[in-house]
Amino acid sequence: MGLKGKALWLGRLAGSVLLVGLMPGFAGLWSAQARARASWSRSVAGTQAQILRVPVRSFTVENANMAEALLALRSSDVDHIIIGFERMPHLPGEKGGPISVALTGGTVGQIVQRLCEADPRYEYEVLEGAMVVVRPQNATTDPSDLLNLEIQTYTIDAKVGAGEAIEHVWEDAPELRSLLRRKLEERAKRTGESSGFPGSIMSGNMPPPRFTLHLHNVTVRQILDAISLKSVDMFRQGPDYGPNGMPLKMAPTGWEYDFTVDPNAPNGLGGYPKWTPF
Amino acid sequence: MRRIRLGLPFVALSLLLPAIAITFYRYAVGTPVGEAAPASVATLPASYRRAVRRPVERVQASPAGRAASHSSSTNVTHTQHCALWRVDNGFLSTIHLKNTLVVGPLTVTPILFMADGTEYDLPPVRLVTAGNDDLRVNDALANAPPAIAAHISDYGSVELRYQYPSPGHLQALTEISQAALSLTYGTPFEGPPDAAAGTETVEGLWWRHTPQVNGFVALANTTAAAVPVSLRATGSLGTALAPVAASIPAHATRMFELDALTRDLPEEETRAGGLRLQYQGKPGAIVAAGGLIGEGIGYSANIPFWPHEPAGNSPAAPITYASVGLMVGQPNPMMGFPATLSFTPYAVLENTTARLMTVKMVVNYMSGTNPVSVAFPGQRLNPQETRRLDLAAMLKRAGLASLRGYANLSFTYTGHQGELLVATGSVDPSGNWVFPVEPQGVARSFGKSVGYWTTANAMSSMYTLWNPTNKAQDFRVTLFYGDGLGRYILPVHLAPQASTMIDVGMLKMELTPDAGGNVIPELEEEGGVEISSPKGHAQWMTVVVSAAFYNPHRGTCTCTCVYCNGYSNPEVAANPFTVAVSGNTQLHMQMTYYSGEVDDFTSAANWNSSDTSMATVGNGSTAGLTKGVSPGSMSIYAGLIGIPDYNGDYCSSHPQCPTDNPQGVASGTSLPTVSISGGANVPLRTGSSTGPNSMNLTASGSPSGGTYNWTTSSSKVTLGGATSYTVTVTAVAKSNSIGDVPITVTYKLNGQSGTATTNITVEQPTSLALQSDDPNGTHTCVSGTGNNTCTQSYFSGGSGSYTSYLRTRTYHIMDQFNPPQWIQGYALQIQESYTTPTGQCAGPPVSIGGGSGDTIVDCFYFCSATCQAKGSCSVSSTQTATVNGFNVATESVNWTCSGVTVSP
Repeated sequence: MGLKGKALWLGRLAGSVLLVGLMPGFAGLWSAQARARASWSRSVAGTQAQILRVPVRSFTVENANMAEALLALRSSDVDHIIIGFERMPHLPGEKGGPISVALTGGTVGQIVQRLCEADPRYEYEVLEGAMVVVRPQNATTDPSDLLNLEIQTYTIDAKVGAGEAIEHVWEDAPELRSLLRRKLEERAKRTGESSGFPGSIMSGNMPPPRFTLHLHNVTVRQILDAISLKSVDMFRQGPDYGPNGMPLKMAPTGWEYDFTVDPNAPNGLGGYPKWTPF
Repeated sequence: MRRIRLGLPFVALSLLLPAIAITFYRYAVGTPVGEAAPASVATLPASYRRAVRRPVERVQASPAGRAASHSSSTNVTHTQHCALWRVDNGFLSTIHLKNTLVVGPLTVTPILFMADGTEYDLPPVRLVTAGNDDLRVNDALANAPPAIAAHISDYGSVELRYQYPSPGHLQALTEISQAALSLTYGTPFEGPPDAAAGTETVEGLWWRHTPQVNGFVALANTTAAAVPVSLRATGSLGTALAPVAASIPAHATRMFELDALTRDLPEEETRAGGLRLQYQGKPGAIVAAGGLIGEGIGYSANIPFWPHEPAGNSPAAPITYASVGLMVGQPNPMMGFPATLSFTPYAVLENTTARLMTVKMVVNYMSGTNPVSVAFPGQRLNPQETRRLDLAAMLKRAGLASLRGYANLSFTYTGHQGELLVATGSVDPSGNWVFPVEPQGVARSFGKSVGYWTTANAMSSMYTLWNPTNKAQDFRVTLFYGDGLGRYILPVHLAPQASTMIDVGMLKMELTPDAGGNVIPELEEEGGVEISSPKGHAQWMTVVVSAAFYNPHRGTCTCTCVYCNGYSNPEVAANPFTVAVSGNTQLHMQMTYYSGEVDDFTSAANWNSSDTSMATVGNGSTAGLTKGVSPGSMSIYAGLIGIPDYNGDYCSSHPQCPTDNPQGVASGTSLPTVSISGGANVPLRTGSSTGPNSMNLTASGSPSGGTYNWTTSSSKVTLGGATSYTVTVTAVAKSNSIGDVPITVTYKLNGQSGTATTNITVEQPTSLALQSDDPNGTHTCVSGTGNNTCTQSYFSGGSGSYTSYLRTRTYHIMDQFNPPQWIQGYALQIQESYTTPTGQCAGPPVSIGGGSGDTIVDCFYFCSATCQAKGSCSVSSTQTATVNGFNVATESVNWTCSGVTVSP
């Protein structure tokens, strides 16, 4: 890919990002799919904050943390409310929080604003007019934040859903995978304990369409964003139902990054990172 | 001999006895013996003229088309009138009632009208199925309430009312008798015809057996308004007297003495003559009855009154009447008459026209088992002439002076109904034993019936059947008795021109068994008679029947009316009806028989559609099969030609049984069709699951161009795009039972709608059903992401890598029911998660997968340098599987170097 494609992608993000709180700097991002997505991007020009206007008939949370509140918001309209969420690092078993919001006939924008006001540790950002990203204040500048790790090349090309791509980003992003391995080996060397690596590859008999994404010089965070935006694209393109009436595609997928603090975690990270679809 | 006089205030006319009430409703072209007699289309109501296409020969009821129940139409009040009852001078008036329905009882309300028109409602009489009952007028009058008592008169008229969907299911007769004087008269009931008002003319015929014979005429007004009438007498040579004018008040009865009416006739014309009744109004508004009485000799006979067909109604045609069963000579000793009694037949003819009329006569009798017919010289009647024939001399001239038993006389002329009046019978030399025989038109019919037979009080009943055709015919004579369920069935075969006589008294006395071996129980003394075809109801036959009940000891004989059985209430079922475009609906034409049975005429009818662009209807092999063409309304007609109709308003005197061209109609709607295609189940999802929770249903309407509207009464789904031909069904809540979510689409085109409904199930992923479990699994999980081998994982390249695929399990995703159903066909979102691993080798999180489908494959692997070094290592964690966000399985998993265990 050449410079032209890269410029398109960067220009699109610059024109469509609405940042509340600190505007993050981010490295260049390149996608082989950017050309295809550009046409849709242009079609929504001027409606960058479209997702913020998505109506929510009724929304109520009480004494919730941000994860619980956003899950409630996301569940109210899975097809149209796409959220990327980086949770504040937390101890195992934490539940509840400072958020109590009740709103009838509101919008996504109003609700997210109220949530961030209720827990001002968070800020939010709108990507492509189609996705809200909620994260801790200053998360994008935190050098210890795994999501800020720069990835030179990220490639996925498999019959998987966006959710699986998100879950396996720690395996598919080479620099992230190396970091995790290094941390593990350092701990093993330090403790003399050898870990086993169990796995369970659960799959279905109806694989989704091929999911292809090639990114260069991006952060882990931007990979997650790109995966979710790709899922939005795929959801908006093509027919919804086949001739037999069966749905042809899944709803778009957001992402969640969760870090559970545990100084004794055997992975050497001081806790357990988890990337899951949201 | 005691002279009977009526002390009536209205005139100086002393009144004597009754006769035959006459009303007339249809005029049809007369036909020769044995010929088909379709009704003249020109005389039919307009509604019956539409479908005149099919030859009458095609009219046969479908053999298997008999319906068991009566018509589903609503009840209608029917009325029948009788011109006279009388109770003066020892007369007893008895109303004999017969329910012709074989499908149910009939409740009749009798109403006596006094001479001044006062109404006296009697308690309803419930007639059992096919049953008979009697009502004594004398007793009713004796028990009249005070308000009525002041108006009680010696005579009056009767009305019978009943309710039933179809008409004519009541056959009734008022018998007026004075046993001590050997006098008897019968006056039948007839229903008011459905005809327009005009100048009505009714012709009567009188004769004097001896110069002393007197007579009377009763005129009853059946309406609620006064009706002016004129009554004119003519002499035997045609001399016409000035008419007597009178106004008959509402429901009142007026009586006139024959002597008074004929007083001014020349002496030579006083032995016979005519009467002409005229009034303005509807047929049946005035009903007439009359009787002749020879006071000193016990002579009694009805004065016949026949309707006179209005001029110009139809062209002149040959008309034949026949009087059958005329007693000749000494009667059968078994009949119980005095041994010395001998009968001589009589016949009186009246030409009511102003032109010469020639009447051909034929006498027919049985010589042993052989029928013999002999032509008598034709009678040439002058205008208005009434002639008493000397049948004894005519028989002698024909060489039949020694004829004994009975004979049949037929009279043929060319003209119209009512232009020739005929009175016949037999009388003994004393004039006391008078056995009148009412002539009957000779034409084909669908069977006949008589409402009354009796053997009570030393009476008997006699029926004569004559086959006037040149073909042998078979009949079935059924005597109903008891509660109507009793039936005595006699098969009768009549050779061409042959006749037979059936005496009920003799059948009972001789214990003659019927075809089924039954005999009429001795205690059964009343009933009705039906003459039908052995092949069924709607079968043509030609038979002349006479009926009478008589007392051989007292010398009384009362003629009973012979009804033409037929049909009424033509219907097309179902009505209304719907038919889908390009679909078929079978319609049926049916009519109600006089017995109340509903017969099917579908295959015989001629079917038409009012709008073939909406629907067509078949004939022949597809008769009544209606096919929708395009959405809209139409009427489907089914017509027949020349079917004997039955309204209970017909009794003798007509040249033929009245026929109609019945037509049934059904209002139809041709509806567009619509069908639904799509799945029968839709999965539910929860939380932030991105799995499928909807499906599309597609409707296909025909013809195209209409609009769609989808609805559901269920709250378990929502519908999107409900006005399109497709609808998106989104699951909201799980079903409680399979198929409990109805989804209906209405397809509308040209103002008509078709609907289709499908019942679907909302399925919640609830559990997994293990399909296979390979503890030494070869790896098949290649479709997911992640690393399929340890060497590909980020853990490889360390102190040593080791790949071990230890177990492969497959599952079906099941729903909430018991037993669970496999949720097939959807790419359900499959996810798994693990708790933080524990154990000797616990380290990084368990690597997981995910996917989509209705079947799950789960491959367990373990990478461990310790295992590779033949050491021991284990890790445990709890796996949670979710499908569409629902937790479907939670299992404990333990990885070791030698394998993986999963429990439960």
